[in-house]
Amino acid sequence: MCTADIKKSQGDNGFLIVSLSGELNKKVVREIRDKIIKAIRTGHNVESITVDLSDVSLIDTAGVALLVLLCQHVKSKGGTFRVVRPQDRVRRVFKLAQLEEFLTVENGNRQ
Amino acid sequence: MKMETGSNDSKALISVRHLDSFYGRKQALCDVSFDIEARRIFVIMGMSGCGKSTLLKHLIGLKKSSPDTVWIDGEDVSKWGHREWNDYWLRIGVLFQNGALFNSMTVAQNIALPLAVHTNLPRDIIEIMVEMKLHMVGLSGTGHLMPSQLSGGMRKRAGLARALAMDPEILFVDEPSSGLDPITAAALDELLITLKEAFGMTLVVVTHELESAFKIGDSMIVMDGGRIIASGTPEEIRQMPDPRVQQFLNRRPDEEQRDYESYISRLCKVKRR
Repeated sequence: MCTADIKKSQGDNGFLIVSLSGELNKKVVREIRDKIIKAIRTGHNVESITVDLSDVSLIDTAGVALLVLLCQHVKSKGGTFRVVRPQDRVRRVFKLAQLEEFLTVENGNRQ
Repeated sequence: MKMETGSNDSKALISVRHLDSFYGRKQALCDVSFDIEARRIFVIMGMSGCGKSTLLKHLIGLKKSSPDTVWIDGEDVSKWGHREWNDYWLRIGVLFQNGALFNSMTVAQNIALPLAVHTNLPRDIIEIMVEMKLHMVGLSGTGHLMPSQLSGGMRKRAGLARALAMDPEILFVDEPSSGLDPITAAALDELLITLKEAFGMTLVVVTHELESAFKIGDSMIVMDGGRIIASGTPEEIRQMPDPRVQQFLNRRPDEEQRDYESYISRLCKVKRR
């Protein structure tokens, strides 16, 4: 089970904050992806996406692949992408996949 | 280690109780009992022919188990039908000794196959997952190759990437280090430990490589002649005075195998033609 709370700015410089909770795995990735894509396509262009993983207890490679796709999308439009506050176990997965730098994984807050 | 008869109150992910196994009349396993805890690395050790691979077959459902002998998630697997086994097989990954790749597919297609068949994941997500798995096992950039173009060690690692394709809850690994050079084998040991820590994976590793077993194992059993002769943590196993355990740990060949007199006697029985 995984839930996604998505907040989008109203100004011209659109940014999206995606707060995920639960287990981000292959069972939920398609649903979460569709939800985020819908938010991205609604209203203003999204120039920045921050994904808050503080409440994600477990991630598998399908979950990581979703983050890679989002990162590719934003960066291809010249925007920025960050993953913030992953739990230790989740951070280990990023490290194993050597994606900490690519996904801009940070411990700091989401603002 | 908890042992009971005819029932299983264990909280272990997998419990085996008094398991016997036969090939025809030949007994391969005799009264085997142990528990495998979730999110740990469990090592099955022993010399060639001691029953390790037979035991693995029971744990992955390739060999039928008698009632009340093998329990998974507290369920007696002898009562499972096709649906239960299919559900279980989706939760596990298996690395066989030879890698068991489909020779008619590229390495990437081999890894993507279970994801394409058993999940509703979009193609782009699957392609990224395949690249990640190849990178994890040190085979980045080889996805386009056919299995026949890989060395033995590369096939083994590609087999591991395929076993990891579905991000299994339980990973069974049969002789992970065989056919690998020492540096690659050490890297593989590290990977297995990281898989446990990062994904919360349970690993069951069959091996005769002592160094690897003691490095990665949280708990282990030592088998000889189809029986468990020792079980416990790596430290407990090291301290066991049982001469058969010490013989295995010190890599002393079985005296019977080196029995010179019986060897000569067998030679003398050969009739001159």
